[in-house]
Amino acid sequence: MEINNPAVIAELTRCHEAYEKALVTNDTAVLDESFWDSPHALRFGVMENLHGADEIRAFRKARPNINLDREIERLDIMSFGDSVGVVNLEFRRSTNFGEQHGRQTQFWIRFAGGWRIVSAHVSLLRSPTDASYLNAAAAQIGLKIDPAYQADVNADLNRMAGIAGFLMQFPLGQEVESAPVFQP
Amino acid sequence: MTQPNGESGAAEISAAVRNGEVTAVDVTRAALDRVSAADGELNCFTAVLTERALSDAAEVDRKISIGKDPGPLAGVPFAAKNLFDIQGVPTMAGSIVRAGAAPAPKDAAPVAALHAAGAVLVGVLNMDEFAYGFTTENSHYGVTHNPHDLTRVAGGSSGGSAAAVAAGMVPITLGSDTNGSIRVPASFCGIFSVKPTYGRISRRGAFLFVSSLDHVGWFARSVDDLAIAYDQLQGPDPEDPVCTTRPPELSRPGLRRGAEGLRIAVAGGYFADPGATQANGAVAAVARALGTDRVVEFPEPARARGAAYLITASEGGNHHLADLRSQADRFDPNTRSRFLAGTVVPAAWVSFAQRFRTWYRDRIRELFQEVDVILAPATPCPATRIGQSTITVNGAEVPARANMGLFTQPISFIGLPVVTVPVWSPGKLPIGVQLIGAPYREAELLRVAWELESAGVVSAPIAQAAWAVK
Repeated sequence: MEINNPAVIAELTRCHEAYEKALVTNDTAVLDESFWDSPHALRFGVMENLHGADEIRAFRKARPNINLDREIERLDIMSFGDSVGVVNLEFRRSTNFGEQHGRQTQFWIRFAGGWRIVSAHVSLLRSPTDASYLNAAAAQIGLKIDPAYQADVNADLNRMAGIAGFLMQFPLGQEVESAPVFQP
Repeated sequence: MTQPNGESGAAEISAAVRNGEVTAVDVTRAALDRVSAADGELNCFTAVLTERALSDAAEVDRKISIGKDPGPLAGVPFAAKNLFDIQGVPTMAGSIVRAGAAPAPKDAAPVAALHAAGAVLVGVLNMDEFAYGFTTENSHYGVTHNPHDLTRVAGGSSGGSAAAVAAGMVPITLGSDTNGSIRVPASFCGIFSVKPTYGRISRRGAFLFVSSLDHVGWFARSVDDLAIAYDQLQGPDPEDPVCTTRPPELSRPGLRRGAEGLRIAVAGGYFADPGATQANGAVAAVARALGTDRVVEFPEPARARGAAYLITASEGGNHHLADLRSQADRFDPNTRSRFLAGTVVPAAWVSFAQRFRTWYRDRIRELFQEVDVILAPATPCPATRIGQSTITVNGAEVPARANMGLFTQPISFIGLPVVTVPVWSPGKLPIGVQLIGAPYREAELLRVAWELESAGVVSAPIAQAAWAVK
């Protein structure tokens, strides 16, 4: 079995590009066409588990056509033989809640009618477990955080970091002073 | 007026008491009866002050009996969120951490102002712990139920304040708003509210959450009652460092001028989320009634919200640092991790947020050169179910608790005054619309609210769910 045959990779790349374009323009016809029309097709979204082509189609139909734009940070396409492919990508999306960092995995199979996604999984990277900043900063203010709370606190801090990152992209002039003015 | 009941507004009660048609004690007993009849279902009150209420009411009656004027709120029952100091009672602010706190030496300024006008304090109202929430699902004192649908939340953090008014227990309650804690529960409970300009009303004796953003405000079932309370609550207070030195501006005399001469527009873009259909419909109904189709854009509202979030986390965390060091385990699990995270927020984030606040305020000042009143939804959706963890906004499922303030946070961030008005559609729960004004223009907002109320576009009928159980 040949792995990553350039011609197969080129086909999968075209499939990916068509799917991505349909996704950000909410072209549901193309999106539906891209999935295997079978009760066995499966899509795990960020907030929903969809089993079967009918559920996937219903979800797309109900989904509001907003805020679908995303920036792909990294794309990995693999092929195994001439009819099995995996597309992995990492993306960023700017929302009212700050920046979202997400991952998507698609399993593609070539059927008689062409390449179709048989299984897909999308998730958001919310809670990195690295608590080194939290622990160092807490130590500086004499705060000991119970290990039982640490994961939740770190998740909240990471949420705040996402918000701060979004806020601080704003080109604020150096001449702008802080809002509270101390009156002696 | 024959007998005081839950329908009676403050003006009506006060007039009847002053004319000797009813006694303040009878009005107070009736209010206490309503509280004991419905609060088992709603859980609005964390304490009922029967003894003080009857004593204060007797004092009002005594003044009347000797020909003295007890004030424009004579005998009007009211209640206050559990973060206002009440003389002789420890201020818990929805926590158990403060269980050992000393009894408050005197009433908080807003409580004292209503009391001085003859109003009668009947109790203390439930809230999210330390005001850090939008649902009043308090792990220590229980959830406050929405009086229109007992399976839903009342909103928060001033949930007890909103639900007590919506159920007709008392005509006026006091609350506080840092990021939406008055406007969100007013929206969910279908009542009127004022979140005044930052610093307009003294916060002395209110247990603060985020000094940079904290406002005191109030709830009522009519615009006239909002105006009566406002005219008593204003005034400088050297003991509150952020309280304005501007003289009071009485709102009630000019109320009936309505929206005449005011330039009104709808907030577009960020505030017109296509997924928030009922909220948009409510704003459209209000805009139609006011004859406006003008749309204005707030600059950078999402960043304004983010900046408010960071200042909130940082100041809130620092405020509670001593207790977080010694007894974090006694905090509500619904607030604990955010308070802990807030203690270590980098200074760079907060400094930037406070500088961004200056920039944003300056842009909004420009916006108010062109318009007088801006309409926006108060919440993305009507009241959520108790325990509901997510809502859909902008096509994404997002945490309900944190995102109820989507449309309120960018407004309170720079202290703009807001009157929230309740809009109804058949078969649906109510939802609020924010009437947003330039700083210190509360009176204009109340005029617009009065016009909408007179036209029947907005109203606050007594919620029946708790009474129907009986």
